[in-house]
Order: sequence, then C-alpha cells, then structure tokens
Amino acid sequence: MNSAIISIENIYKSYQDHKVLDNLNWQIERGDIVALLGKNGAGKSTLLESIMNLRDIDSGELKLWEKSWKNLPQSQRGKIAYVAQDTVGFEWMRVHVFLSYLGGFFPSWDEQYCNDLSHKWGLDSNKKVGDLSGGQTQILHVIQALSVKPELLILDEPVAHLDPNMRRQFISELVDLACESSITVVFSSHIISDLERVANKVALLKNGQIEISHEVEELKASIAHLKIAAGGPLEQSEYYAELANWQSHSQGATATVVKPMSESLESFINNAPNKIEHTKISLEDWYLEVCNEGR
Amino acid sequence: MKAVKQTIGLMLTHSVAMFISVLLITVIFAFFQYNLSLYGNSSGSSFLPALMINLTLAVLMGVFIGGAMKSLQLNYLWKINQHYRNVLIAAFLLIAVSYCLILMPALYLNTQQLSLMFLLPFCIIIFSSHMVIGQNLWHKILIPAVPLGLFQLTKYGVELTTIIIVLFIATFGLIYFMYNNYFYRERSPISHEKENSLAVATTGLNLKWVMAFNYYIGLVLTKWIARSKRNIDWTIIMPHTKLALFSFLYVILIMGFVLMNSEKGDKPLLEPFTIMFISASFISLIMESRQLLRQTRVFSHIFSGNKHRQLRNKILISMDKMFIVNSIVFVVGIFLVAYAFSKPINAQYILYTVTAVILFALAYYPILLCMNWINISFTLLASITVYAGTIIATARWINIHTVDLLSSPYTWMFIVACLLLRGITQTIFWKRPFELLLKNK
Repeated sequence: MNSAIISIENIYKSYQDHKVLDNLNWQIERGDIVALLGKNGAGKSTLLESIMNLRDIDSGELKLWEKSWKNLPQSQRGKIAYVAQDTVGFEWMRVHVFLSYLGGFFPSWDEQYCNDLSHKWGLDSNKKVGDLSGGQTQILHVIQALSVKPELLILDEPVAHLDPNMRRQFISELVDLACESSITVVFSSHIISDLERVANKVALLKNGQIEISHEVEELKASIAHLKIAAGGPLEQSEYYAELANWQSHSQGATATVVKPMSESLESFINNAPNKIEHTKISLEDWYLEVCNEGR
Repeated sequence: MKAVKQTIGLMLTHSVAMFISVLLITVIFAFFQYNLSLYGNSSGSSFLPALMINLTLAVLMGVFIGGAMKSLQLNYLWKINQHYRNVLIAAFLLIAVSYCLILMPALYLNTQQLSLMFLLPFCIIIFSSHMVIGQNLWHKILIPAVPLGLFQLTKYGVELTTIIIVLFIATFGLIYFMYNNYFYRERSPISHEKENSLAVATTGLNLKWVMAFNYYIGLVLTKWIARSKRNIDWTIIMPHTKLALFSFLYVILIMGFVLMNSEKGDKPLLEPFTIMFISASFISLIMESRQLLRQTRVFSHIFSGNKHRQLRNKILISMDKMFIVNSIVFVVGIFLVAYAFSKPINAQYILYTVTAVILFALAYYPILLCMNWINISFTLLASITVYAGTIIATARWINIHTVDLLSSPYTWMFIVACLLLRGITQTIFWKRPFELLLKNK
C-alpha cells in the first residue's frame, strides 16, 4: 500500500512569465519530517501554499492521502495545520481569544496542550496579537498549529524570527510530537543546523524542481569535497559525471559530491581511475555548494 | 452558534476606531433624521431624504463589516475549511440584518413598507461591503455600483418595487458568490503596516493603486504646492495624498445619492451630507496619519533636542495643511456636484459650517493624536463624544443664525475658544513622550 501522504506529480506554476514550479514531482511518506530548502525566490512558499491548496497550480496532480483537494473530506482537512511565512491578520484579538477562536474550527484541538505551550513559551495570553513582536507572533501561530494535533503539519519558515533558545524549544516540541504521534511535517527553513536536529529527510527545490530529496543521514554520509590527483588538468569524464562543481587545475581537479551516488563514497573512491582525497563537509557547506552550483 | 456569536463580536471590534466612527456617524445621522421627521413638510417629501440617510448608513456599515470580513478572510481556513466559511458568512449576515432592524424605526415615521425599511438597506449593506471585500478593482467598483445602476431604471418607468425585487435576488446571488469565491490573499511584497493603511482598509482599493496614487499626488503637492524637498516634510506630508483620496471618494458617494435622488422637487440633502462627511473624514485622516507618523522613526533621533520640539511642530503644521486642503477639495467637489446636477444648495450655510468644523477640528485633533485607538477607553469615547457633540451643536446653531452669524458675538467667542483649545491640545501633544506618539495604535 502506498503510504505517501503527499503526492505531487508534474505540477507547473508560473507567475506571469516566470516559471516557479516546473514539472515538479515529489512524494512525502507518512511520519516523515521533511526540510524543504531552496534559495530566496526558489518557490518554497509557492510549493507549500500549493500543497495547502492556497494557490491554484497551472497543471499537474497534487494529492493528500491519495485524494485531490476537491475530494478531500472536511474531517480530513481538519487534520492539517499550517503556519504561513507572513503571519498576518487578527491584530485586534487578544492571544487567548485568537487561540480559542481558531481552535474551535479543528475537531482535534487540544486546549490543555495549547495552554501548556503558551505558558511554557512565555506567551502573554492577554496581549493583543498586534502588540506581539515578530518572534512572538510566529510562536503564537506555531502554538496554534501544534495544538491542532495535526496529522499533517506544513510550516513555512517557522523559525525565521525566533531566537536560538526558542528555536531549540520549538524543535524539541516538534520532535516530541513526532515521537508520540505519526505526524508528518514539511517545513521550509534557511537554518541548516535546525534541520539536522529535527528532519529525517531533506529536499532541495531548485529550478522549479525537487533536485535532491534524501534521508538526512544518508546525505550526510555521502557529501564530500574531492581532490582528484592527475599529472595535469583533468577533464570531467563519464566516471565523474555525478560530481558537481568540477574545477580543473594544474595537478588534477576538485569536485563535490552533493547527493548520494549510485555506489557508496568509499567504493567510488576505491574504483576511481585517479587517486582521490576526500574531506567530509557539513550540511551547511553542502547547501551553499548546491545553491551556487551552475551560477 | 458559539462560533457565530464569537465571530460577530470579533467582527464588530476588528477596528475600534472605525466602529466608533460608524457609531458617531449613526448618531449624527439619527439627529438629522429626527430633525427631518419633526420639521419635514406634511406632503411627505421628507421620506426620500430619510431613506437616503438610511442608505448612507447602510453603505458605511457595509464598508465596516466588509473590512471585518476581509480581515478574517486572511486566514488560510477561509480557503480550506467549510465550517469557517459558514461561520463567517452567518456572522456577516446577522450583523447586516441586525443593523437594518436598528435603522428601521427611524424610517418607520415616513413609510411602513418593509421592502424600503428593511430589504433595501440590507441589500445596500451587502453590495457596499464589496468595496472592501472585492478581490480586484473591478469587483470593488462594479459590484457596489449595481444598486445605483438599477435605480436609474426608474427614469425609464420601471417600478420601484420591481427594482427592489431584482436587487434582492441579486443580493442573494452575491451572497452565494461570496460563499463560493473562497480565495486566499495574494502575497504582497509590501509591508504589512502599509497593508493595514486605512486608505486600503476603508476604501478597499488595491494597495498598488493607493500607493501609486499617493506617489503622484505627493509628487504634485511637494513640487508645486508644498514646494518642499524630499525631507521631513515629505514624510509627514504624505497624508496629503490620502486626504485627496478620501475627499474624492466622499464626493463620489454623495454624487451617487444625488443621482438616486434625482426628482426635481426633492431636497438632495447636500448640506447635512457635507457636514457628516467632513466631520467623519477628519477622524479617518487622523487614523491614517497615525500610521504615517511611524515613518518619522527613521530620522526622529536627528531632532531629539528639546524633546523633538521641531519635529512635533512640523507634524502639526503638516496635519493642519492636510485638514485644510482636504476640506477645500471636498467642498469644491460638493459645489461642483450641485452645479453639475442643478441641485439647490445653501452655499452660505455650508461655508459657515465647514469653516466652523475645520476650526474646531484643527483645535481639537492634537489630543486625538495622543490617544491609543486600539482599545475602547473612556477617554477615547469621551473625546469622540465631545467632538461629535460640538459639531452637531455648532451646525444646529449656525442653521438658526446663518443670516446674522458674522455679527454675532458668539461667533467671535467660538473662534477665541478654538484658539485657546488649540493652545491646550498642542501643549498636551508637546508633553506626550515622543516614542508613545509614534507607537500609538
């Protein structure tokens, strides 16, 4: 049985002449915590909003629980929570009114959990939403989303305005929630250290497509800088075709492994026609490499 | 039902300042309706003016709850959660129905027709709410214009009853359209503060249009009228731009009513409309300016000496100019409408009253800049009541003494009182901590 909770096939989305999503395919399995990466303007928010049915796609098929949004029953829709990147609106409401008001629209709303989280994260429930700082507003929306006890949680840059302490607390809460229920989370972020702590999968959106989608651990084990020795400048041969950022120099070439290859890194190095030295790189360095690739 | 009740409460309190403005205008209009019922002639000609007043209130309520609806539609639930949509629509309709019921007794003195007392204002509320709810400029202009267009059919012999029936059916169509038109807000690269701008919230115009309008009007004002460089004055003078927007909109609204009230013998009510809108526009402009005052945060530290005295004075001078230009644009607009549609107008009364309203508003507004409008407080209510009460009393007094106004000692006493009041309110404004002036909501 297909356990994909989100299934995207060949979707396209353009704004005027600018193609944002270009024949994008992606599958997210039940229980996955997926970090969606991509440069500013890569289309992360558009993709997440399309998953949430907040933006109409030009073509393609997008299914949640193997159903299109049109056929998704209200009961199932109530199991989805979402935090937008720009959390606007409701400025005139007090925090507790905001939470109880929106909570009323979710059958699985956990009032006690909501109060506990508000207390734990130091949110003044009598303050007006409009009087909260950027970070506090984000916390408020995250609390609202978590208190739904959703089966699918979509978060668009949920920690962008949070201080490191709050980020840690948020991540810890997310991990707890994922452990106690089979919640599926998709979140976009630019803070790579956070995704390492919480996500089990990472996906990179580039050129309108999910270019890389792998398990975090698998990816971390694969990515490396390679120094390939040769008598003179070395051109990228077929053997090295999977390597990125190829640069020839007088004594060979340098390149980067940016995604798991068809064989393990060790066997790739051992079977190579040239002598290769490798250096492991962090996810942050990897992210910079893949983003700058092809510039 | 609990969710609907909660939503009604939230819709009514979504903008305290607007809520108070609507209440204020309702009270002022009620005063005029009361006058009409008492002093309207026995031939029944006070019916149409009374109906016009009711419909004006319906338009304002439509814009108000349209704003509330738009704010609640910002949440993603509007697009994906049917229950949320049901609750919002139910609350929206209940407020509209309740307001029509509140308006009914005032019109009952003139007519007992349910269609005119209740159905017509209800339809107008729904249509006018689309000035704000409308997704694009065409929706915002064309949908609210439908009732106006339908009423023009009376000129071609179509019965009023038929028009009301058509309008009622169209209203239900519009409600159905609202329910099924579940969109999600378009992302805007412009800051949230600007999206909250009153010009956008109250007029429902597209932000880009408002900004473009602001820019070009601001350009003209600073280049040829204000003749200042793009410095502090430019920042504070920006309200000038919205003032023109408000004036034009109010003039267009009044023109709509004049068109509807096209029978030759009818009183077009230009005088009370002018006073109503000019008083209300000051409140709107103060709210708008408070948003724009925040712009001075970037450079206010340069004027931090002597408790920002220089900057505070600049702000007041800019606001004074804004009020005066706004009033001139508005009054000229009214006279042009009267001239274009050959409507009788008591120019002397309008000029005297508008001058009095401007004088009082100029004397009074610094205190309104010092207040926090986000919460309903006793001070805020008291201040608004004093403002409304003084305008009503002054308008009434001028109405009785129009002929000998200039020779009356009370006129000069009023002017002196306004000057003294300005001295007091300006002192309060100067003494208010500067950061609080900029942070006030």
